[in-house]
Amino acid sequence: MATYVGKSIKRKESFDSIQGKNTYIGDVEVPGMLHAAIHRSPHAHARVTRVDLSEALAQPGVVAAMSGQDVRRLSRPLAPFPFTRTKPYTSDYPRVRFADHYGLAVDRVRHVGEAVAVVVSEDRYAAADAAEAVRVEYEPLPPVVDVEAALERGTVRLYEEWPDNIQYEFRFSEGPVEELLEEAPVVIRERIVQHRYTGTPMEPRGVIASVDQRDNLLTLWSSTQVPHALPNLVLETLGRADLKIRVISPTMGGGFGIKWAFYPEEVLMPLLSLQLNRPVGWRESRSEHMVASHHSRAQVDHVEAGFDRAGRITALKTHVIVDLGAAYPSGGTSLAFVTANFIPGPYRVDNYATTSFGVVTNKTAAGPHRANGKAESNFIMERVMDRAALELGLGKDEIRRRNLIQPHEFPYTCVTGSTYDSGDYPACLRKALAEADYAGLLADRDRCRLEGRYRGVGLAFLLEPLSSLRPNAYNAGYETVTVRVDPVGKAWVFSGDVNMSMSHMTTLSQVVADELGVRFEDVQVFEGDSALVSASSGSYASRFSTVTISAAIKASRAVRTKILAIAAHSLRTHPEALECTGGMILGRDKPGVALTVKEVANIAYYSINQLPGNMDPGLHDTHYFINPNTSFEPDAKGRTSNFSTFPYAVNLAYVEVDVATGDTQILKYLTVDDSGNLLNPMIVDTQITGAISHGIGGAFLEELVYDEQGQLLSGTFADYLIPSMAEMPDLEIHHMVTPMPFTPGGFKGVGEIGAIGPPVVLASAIEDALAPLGVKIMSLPLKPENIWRAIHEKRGTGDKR
Amino acid sequence: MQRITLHTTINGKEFSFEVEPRLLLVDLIRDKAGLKGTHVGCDTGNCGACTVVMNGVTVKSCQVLAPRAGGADIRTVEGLARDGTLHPIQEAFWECDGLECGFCTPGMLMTTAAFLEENPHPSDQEIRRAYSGNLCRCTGYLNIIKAVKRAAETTG
Repeated sequence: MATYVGKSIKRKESFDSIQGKNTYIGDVEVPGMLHAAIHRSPHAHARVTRVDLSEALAQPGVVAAMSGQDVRRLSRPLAPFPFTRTKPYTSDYPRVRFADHYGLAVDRVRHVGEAVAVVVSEDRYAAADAAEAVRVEYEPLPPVVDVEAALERGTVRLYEEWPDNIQYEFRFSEGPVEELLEEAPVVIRERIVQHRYTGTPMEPRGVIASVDQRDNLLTLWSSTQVPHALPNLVLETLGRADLKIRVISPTMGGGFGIKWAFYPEEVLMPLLSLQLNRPVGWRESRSEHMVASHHSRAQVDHVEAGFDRAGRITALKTHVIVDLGAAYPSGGTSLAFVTANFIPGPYRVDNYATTSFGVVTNKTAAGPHRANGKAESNFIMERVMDRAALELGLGKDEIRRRNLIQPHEFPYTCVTGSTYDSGDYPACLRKALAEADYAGLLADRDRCRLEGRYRGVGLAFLLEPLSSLRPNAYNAGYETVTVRVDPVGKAWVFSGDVNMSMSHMTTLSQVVADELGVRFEDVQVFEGDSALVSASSGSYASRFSTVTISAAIKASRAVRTKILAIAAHSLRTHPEALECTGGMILGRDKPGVALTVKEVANIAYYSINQLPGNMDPGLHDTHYFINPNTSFEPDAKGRTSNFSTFPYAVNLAYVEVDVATGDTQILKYLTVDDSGNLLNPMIVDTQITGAISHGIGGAFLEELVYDEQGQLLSGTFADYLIPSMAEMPDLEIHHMVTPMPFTPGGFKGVGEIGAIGPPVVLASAIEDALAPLGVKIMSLPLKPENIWRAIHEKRGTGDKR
Repeated sequence: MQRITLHTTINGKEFSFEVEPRLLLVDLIRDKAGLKGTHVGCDTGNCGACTVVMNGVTVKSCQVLAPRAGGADIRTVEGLARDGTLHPIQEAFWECDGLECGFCTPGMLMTTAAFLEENPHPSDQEIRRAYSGNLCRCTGYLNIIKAVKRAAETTG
């Protein structure tokens, strides 16, 4: 019986946050800690011919400095991530290459901001001064900036040991795609450009390393989303089999995927700490963050989609070219995999061929960012659907209705092999249209058109694959939770996750309290420490409520079974005759409290003579919950099923475009989300709202702009604009609930789908608004200047200001 | 490097510090006074995570040199709750779920403290304008608007 799950309970986490009492990485104080500062490359591509540390070392307070040559002498190249080895795949595709990058660049730099030298000082300000006193001589090389140019024959290669600039390659083909495209009465052919932007958590990164020589224990504090992967990665890179490593990820000021990587500083601080035998810490500044923490989203896509006269997709062909930046272990290759696999989205597509490249360029490494590859795949398919609707003279709603997977088809194996778990897509579309008064909006748009105002309705059906299974990777895809009831009857929960803003303490407490039958207040949650559980895939991709919550439910149920067995033995009855709620054990058919959980715990730990025969003392269980609804085993067509669950949403936007400035005003933004059962509706809605604000930033404001020399032009919050309160429209959030059939709680995941919507649905709305001008929107971002230019190119005014 | 002595009041408590003249106010508050609730999110004065109230007005403490705080009266997030009782602004943010990771929250709270003194009954539009210098990456702001209005009701 749910006392807590499904209720909008106030967040436990907030209590410390509103008093400024959280300990973030920048607040961690280790006695005797030295401060490191990093000298970074001003060049996008250059040979490093000389690094002179003498001036830096002469600065007051400086105790050490290192160049790339030093780091190469003392360690190995950064270990691959997220793969546990350099040959993770047994099949031909996907194919991945790795590059030897050390904690510092050795003889060549490959992006602006790449770490070249590190200095260590007693004082943080003095360390920053000393980093500026490092003298480096460079021989500039031609930079590879444009991702399509990077693929041209004979172009400069970033890694001379590779035959080209392709780091990752995925190919898939099912059905006679070419023939069907040739026969199709309507074929949509487009080139789509998606821009580079990123998550910019409010808290930049930070790393501190401290060595306990007695135990050969290295403690690493890092603002990381993967505290359980790091010990392996750091050990392998240091080549120090004698060390033990514990990683602590303190309260995180937002992650959004940006802290899901293996970063050079996570090796540099341990190296320095081992050398100096003192704790050494580094705190990233925002301007460092913009060049040293990974970017995301940039890709160029070519798509061909065949439709029959009834508007049904007959074949789909795509070529995805992801701009990965430099090949650091940032997990960026998954962008190419996820995008290419899920372009078919919520539609029935039986014939599909794709070639997906992850291409290196002289830019900051790309990696995951909230809705990794999914924001991109949805953008491609939804643009195609809108163009096809225009071509076929169908409504945006109608063309989608004719192609959506139907409710009776679930579980539905999609063309690339994953199994969509559950849903009712047509009902979600119906609900969105009804809630928004779609017909009314179209009528208003038409009225405004007559008055010469440019209003448009955007519609998008969004699908978010999540919780994936990956063999030979640190994010193998299961999650670990230990639930323990202590001798005084309180519940302790140890999770492999990281506390990065998603209210894990509150939601885990809700679930464990209900499953054990104890009070919410009596549950204590711990996470963000590799010492708590043995392994974890980390916090990312909205997978917490799919796998972590499921592991917590399973572990709680095992503990409750034991509690009831002990109680039944003590009361000379059967466990089935008892229930547990609020910390009290009650007879199902007799009123009154028979025993308390505290009394049972006392038996379990101390009065062990009262335990049922053969029962071990203690009340605890550890559960490893593997992604459900997935399979390693290739099916008859050689496909594997990698993703567990597929939340979906319909977004609808109504906008007005000012054709004089290209500026868009959002008049209405509505979403209907199906994320399965809702654990805490208040938290779900905050997640959706926050994610939509990320999407609005990506659609209108945020862009990592590089010039032809590979210089980042938007490297601070003064020119990389994230939405402020003034840019955030009011939202209408509605829900549909199709419980996830393959998890014990029926939850899916909700952290990312909001971030997918805005670029997709706002492009649709702006294109609709500008339909009288015939403007087509195939590129992001939707910045006023880009929309203005699109309008003027169409008008042919020749005015190219 | 040359050092100067400065006296300042933080959350009603008097402090004197020996500091380098180039020290930023945010580092004075965090490292010298040991009040870690004020955060650094951007270094350029854009994000507002370091917002504190100095002599009754909000300042971005990463843009102020510590010597300017000589003789000043500074309020930080640690000064909001009194004797273990949360300030109504804190209660409102909690109640309305006006935060997630909490990194921007101290700045949001201090902006609210100064803003509601100036404008005890703000409209949505006034709130949206007043907070454009405080960035939040988690909440999407709508619950913060609710929280500010709730705080206005409970403090007004």
